[in-house]
Amino acid sequence: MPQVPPSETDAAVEAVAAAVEAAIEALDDELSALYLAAANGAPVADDAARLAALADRVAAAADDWITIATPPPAPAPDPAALLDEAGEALDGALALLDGLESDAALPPADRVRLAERARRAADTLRRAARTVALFSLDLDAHPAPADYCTPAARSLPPYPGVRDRITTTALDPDRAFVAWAVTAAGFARATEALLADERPTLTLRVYIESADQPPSVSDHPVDTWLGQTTMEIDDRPGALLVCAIGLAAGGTFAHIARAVAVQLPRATPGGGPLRFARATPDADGRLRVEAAPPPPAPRAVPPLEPGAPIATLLAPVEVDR
Amino acid sequence: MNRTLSVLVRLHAPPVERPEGPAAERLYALVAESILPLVETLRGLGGHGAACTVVITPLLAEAWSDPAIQAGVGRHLDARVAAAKGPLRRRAEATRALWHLLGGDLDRAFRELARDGAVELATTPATDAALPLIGERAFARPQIALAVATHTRHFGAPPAGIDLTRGYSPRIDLLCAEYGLRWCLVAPAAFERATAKPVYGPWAPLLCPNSGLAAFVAEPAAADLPPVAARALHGVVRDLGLRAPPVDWHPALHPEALGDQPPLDRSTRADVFAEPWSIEAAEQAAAAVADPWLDARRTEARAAAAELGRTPHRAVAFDGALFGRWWGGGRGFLARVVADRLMTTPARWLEENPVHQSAWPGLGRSGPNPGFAAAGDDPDREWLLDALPLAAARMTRLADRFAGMVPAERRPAEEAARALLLAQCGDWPLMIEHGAAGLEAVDAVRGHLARFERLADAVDAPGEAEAPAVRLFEDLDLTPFASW
Repeated sequence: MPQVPPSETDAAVEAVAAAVEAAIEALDDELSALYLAAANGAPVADDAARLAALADRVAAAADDWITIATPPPAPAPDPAALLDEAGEALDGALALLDGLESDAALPPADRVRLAERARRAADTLRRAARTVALFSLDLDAHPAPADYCTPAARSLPPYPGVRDRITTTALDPDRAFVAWAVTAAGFARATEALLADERPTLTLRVYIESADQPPSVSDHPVDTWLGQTTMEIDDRPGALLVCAIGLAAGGTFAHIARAVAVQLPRATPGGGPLRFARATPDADGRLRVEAAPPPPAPRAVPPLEPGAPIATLLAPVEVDR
Repeated sequence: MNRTLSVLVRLHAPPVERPEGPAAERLYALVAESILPLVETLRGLGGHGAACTVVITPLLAEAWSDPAIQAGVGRHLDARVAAAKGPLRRRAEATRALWHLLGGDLDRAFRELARDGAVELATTPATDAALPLIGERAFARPQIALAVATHTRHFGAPPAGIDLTRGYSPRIDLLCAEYGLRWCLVAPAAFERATAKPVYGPWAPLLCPNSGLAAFVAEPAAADLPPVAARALHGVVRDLGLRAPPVDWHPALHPEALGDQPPLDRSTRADVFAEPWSIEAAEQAAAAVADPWLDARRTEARAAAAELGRTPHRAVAFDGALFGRWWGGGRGFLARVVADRLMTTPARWLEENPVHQSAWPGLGRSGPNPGFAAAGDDPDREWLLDALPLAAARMTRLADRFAGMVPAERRPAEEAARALLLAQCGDWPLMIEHGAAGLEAVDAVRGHLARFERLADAVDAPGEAEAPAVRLFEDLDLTPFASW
């Protein structure tokens, strides 16, 4: 543990914390830009190199302050390795700051605050390093298809503050539209949550529940971070559908985002019970619904003229009373 | 014979943001050729037992109340009078006289008709959005809330019902009932996908459990209309950018229905209008087909009443542009039909017949394709399905921040909400789906969404928010957009 004169501690700690935070912020911006560029099919190598340089600066900022006698990290061609080294350098800073917690020369509140800030910075950087590693593995190997997004969408201004999201829209008894977007931070979070060592796959998971069939879960690997698809769902009209985007590896699945449940429409009327009710407005104008005795039973619904739209409903009905 | 038939006339125009340009011209033509003749027809009936339901989209009511639009309508009516000759000129002068009599105030015209009991007024979602396409159910709340508020401001009373034929999805009924609506109009597909089999078929509404909203099936009007009207209705949605009706249908087709079609070859036109076109002849012909149409309805209703053991009801929905703009004699047909003793309105019928089968309709919309899936790969439509929920989610976050603030602070967020509502307009997905004018629709949505994004980015910046020339939804409230 290096001995730092107490008089210099405050300024030095503040300086490194500010430098690390600025670097982390810039790194996050760069990661978002890289994510968007890669999702649009752009080559990521140059951007990765810029990230590497940025990571280098982070490491240097930490090293400047950490006066431990270790040799500076050798330049490495791999941006992920660089970021890992930067993370290690920050770990050193973290250890040092942890040591400061017991330094009586600092006010207790400052010690806790500074240690917490450094810990957060190091965590963010470590996540960023893993994300970059995954970028170089996934996106270079599976570049986004050029036509994944419409010209109209491309010409729109980018949404600021892109978030992890997935939306589902029920279209037909057998079809639903799903759109998703995954951010670098979301990817990193899911990666950390996975326990498996094998390489994770970005996966669209579909949960389907209905009263008449057992629930089902199916996984569909996807190769774009920003994508959309119309899914065909066989033989589950009326079912509840929940879609999630996440990472799958070794039989485990880490959610990045989950959509609100939607109900697929039925193909034919459901088998609900035959009930009758009456709605009357109360003093506030709100409708009050109460059960009512059934009116006389219909003998049959008369057939309509050919071509009438709901003729399919109009076969004589058996009314269970 | 009990009153068993509701005729619903639907008045709608795509968004108009400035008082000049093609959209404004189409609106002026709609007012001159369909809305004013409709008002004239309904006023002429004097409320003597006539019953008609008029569905007015809030977007249209906002547009026709704008002073710049009213001035444009006045100019359009003057130009029509100047250009017309013979009987057409007399008709144009009568229409202009009615406009001046009303002082250009169509709100007042429909308010008075409703007060006299001649019409029941209903609404649609604020921008006539296809609600299942705009995202989660919560995103539909502003469309419903604003529709009711805007309708009340224009017509002095809340609407009785709402037309959801452009898209009904389960549980929307809870929102409708929350804002005081008694009934909704749904497409046949929604009944075909109900939670229980509708034992009366289309002859009675379904009462949504919990909410108590009555869902009526809207029967497409073209099913048994006279051929000329049916063809006009099926063949054209000119406001949506589709082709204008072919000219070889019937001599009674109004020459102005040709509208802005490319000029026709003189010989073709001569063939089509071999006989001199006459307003009187067209209206007499329309009135003559009204009686057989009504007789068929009466016979059908009697049979249904005997079989069902209760008073049946059917709702027939017409596009308002049919009466006059696309079908010269249409208003003669309408005048005959709505004065018939068979006619009622959904709210009136519900009062007389309070007990109904309880079940939820399912997701569905009107048209040949009851679902919302595109026929094939349609990247523009898929983009829309992604972009609209995304923007609505951002609007929710904005509303969470700004809904409780003072007016000056929340104004930019309110302007962003207006841009979002315009992007959600139900015309765009229809235009994209039909192919014709799809690029125009994509451009329109893109423009509204880009404006929404600009406004959302600048909510914290001081300065006046950009706004279109024609003001929409001045009483917009951010609260229904918020997540709390």
